[in-house]
Amino acid sequence: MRTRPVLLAAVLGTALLAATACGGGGGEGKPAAEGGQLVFANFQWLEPNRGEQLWKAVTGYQQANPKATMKQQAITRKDYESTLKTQMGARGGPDILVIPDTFFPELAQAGLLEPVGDALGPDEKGRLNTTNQAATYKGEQLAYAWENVNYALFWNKKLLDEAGVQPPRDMAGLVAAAKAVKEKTGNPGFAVRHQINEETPWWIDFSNWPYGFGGGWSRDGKLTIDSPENVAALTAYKQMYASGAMPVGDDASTFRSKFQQGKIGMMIDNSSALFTMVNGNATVPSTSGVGAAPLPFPGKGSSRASFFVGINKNSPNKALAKDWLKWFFSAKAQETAAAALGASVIGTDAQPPQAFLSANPWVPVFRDQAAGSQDAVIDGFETKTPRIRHIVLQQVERVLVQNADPAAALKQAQQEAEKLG
Amino acid sequence: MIENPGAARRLPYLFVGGAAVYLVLLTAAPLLNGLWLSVTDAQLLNPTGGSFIGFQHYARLFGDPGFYHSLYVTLVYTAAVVAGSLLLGTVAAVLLNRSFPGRTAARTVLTMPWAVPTVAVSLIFVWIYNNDSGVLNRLVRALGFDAQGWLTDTSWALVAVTAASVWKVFPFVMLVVLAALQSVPDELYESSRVDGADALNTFRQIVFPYLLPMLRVAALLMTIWSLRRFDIVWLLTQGGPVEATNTVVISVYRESFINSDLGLSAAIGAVGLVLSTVVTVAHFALERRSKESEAW
Repeated sequence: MRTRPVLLAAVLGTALLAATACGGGGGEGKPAAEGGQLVFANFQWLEPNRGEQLWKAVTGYQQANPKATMKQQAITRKDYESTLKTQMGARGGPDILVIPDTFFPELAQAGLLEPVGDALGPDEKGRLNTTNQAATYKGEQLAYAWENVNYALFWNKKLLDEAGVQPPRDMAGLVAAAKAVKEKTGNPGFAVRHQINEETPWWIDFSNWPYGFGGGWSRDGKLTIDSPENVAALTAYKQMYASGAMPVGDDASTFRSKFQQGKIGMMIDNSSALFTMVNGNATVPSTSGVGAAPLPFPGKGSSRASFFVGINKNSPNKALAKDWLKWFFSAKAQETAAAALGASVIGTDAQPPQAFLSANPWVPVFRDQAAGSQDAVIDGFETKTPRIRHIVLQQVERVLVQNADPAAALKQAQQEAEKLG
Repeated sequence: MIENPGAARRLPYLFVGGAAVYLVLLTAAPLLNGLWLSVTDAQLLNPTGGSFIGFQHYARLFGDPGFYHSLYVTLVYTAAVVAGSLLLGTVAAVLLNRSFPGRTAARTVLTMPWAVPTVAVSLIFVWIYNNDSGVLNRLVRALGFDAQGWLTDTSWALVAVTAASVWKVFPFVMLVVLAALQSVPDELYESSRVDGADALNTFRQIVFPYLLPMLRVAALLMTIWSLRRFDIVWLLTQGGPVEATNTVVISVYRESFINSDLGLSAAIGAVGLVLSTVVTVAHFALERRSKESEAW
């Protein structure tokens, strides 16, 4: 009997679709003692120097469990969420993943994160700090804190000295200092994200301004996009944008490169970015070339980028992944993680080594911001944050490039966001 | 030679069958699945878990001024890229069809934009358009004008993205036209010269009719490709500033991969499909009418 090609193709196609649809899920997989391979997704693997240190910190597990091997899944930050959404939506994806806070509600709501409340023992749980509370969904622990990155104002000491200006302490001082740097050195005085083509990180960066002016995105379950504090923040942001001292049109990778080369006066950015820019940099040395201060805004609030570490619900190696998680929150592994993520606050109170702090004297300023910081996920509107974010940033762009009135623009954003229900 | 008549009858089906299965599995099935998704509330993180919601997504789209704006941007962008690439490609081909020293090198250089990966092209244009240190603004300043925000100003962003797109795709038209030009018999040029026609008249009366069928095909392909072009627009502006470059395809991507709304994204995609189909049908209708008028 001859096999009919059409029938064969149909059977193969159906089998392929069925295999795709049914992949993963199921039980816990093999016991951890039997080992296996853990695929770990993180955009930070691509970061120069720090990526290697982090990988060393997490693969220490291979000594604790010699039958386990770990494999990187490195995805660029820009494509991180969309890549993982595609993979995990198809019931595939890595075993372990670092989860940006703005991505967490969506994964949690879709049921794609394995509950990990039972993964840690009493010792490990005793070490956790309060930042882990944000990794819960409907009362269930779905991940643990990986890194909390704080924001501050920092500057190139040499450029500010050349311009003869003191580090600013308020908004008026920031604009004046930025203009002075531009006029006297020819370099941009201040840089910050300001374009929709970096929407996700811009949202986190921009939130510094409303939070720093005492505003926010919601209160008591209601959106507060057009609050007077937010309007004041946007007005100040526009003033800075229009000052002529900003490298308008530069994305973060461009203005960060310029700062690295000593060609930007001041920035508001996060500790991870600053560490990457000045680590081993002879032009702007971390030890003596950088100054940092709290944000020069009226309030003490600031934005924070939080990242969690969780397990893919469809991982075939959940038992092994949970064993890794338990190991990662051991005292020794956390010390290594703190050294690798030195400029950030991690999920336990493990501190970076003293040598790291001496080499990077600006780090405590960022760590001190943790107390007044909050993430950029909109409370009460967690899964709608991406849509609201787009609406708000569109209006911010209108203010920046079309000179729209900040109050009217935010009012329109409020109305559009409320229509989302 | 196949002696069994039954087998001989089935043989063509066997040959066509492979292609048919390929088309059904990789074209028709995804297309139908896309249309089905457009009437469900499927999410990217649970693509098979959507429920039927009727035409809600379409109703939402057609009640949204932002969607009409993205259609407008798409049509303006497409028209500009098609016109720009046809014009530039044809002019380049006519010039390169002449004999001059270094012609082969010139052809190679002018073909390069088509061969360079779009990501690289986009990065180059980001630098060219940079407000502070971009080559274009340096030139503009040197000429005594104010620097412009090519990618940050709503008045310029679409122009800038269109120019980058034309630069990337015009070599395709150039190669097609160059091939057509080489098929024009030399005798026609000679008789035109004998009749005293100048270069412009020779092109209009002799060369252009030869090029027309190829230009039509090139225009159709350029139109379809421009309607669905994503990479260069996304890499340069992601649809901004203030939606100035937000094409239909950018909206599809945004809804799918940022907002995770697979159903709405599929509905936008379906409208895009209708646009492409209209263009294709119009092309073939024009083609038919032209052939009919030639037959008369």
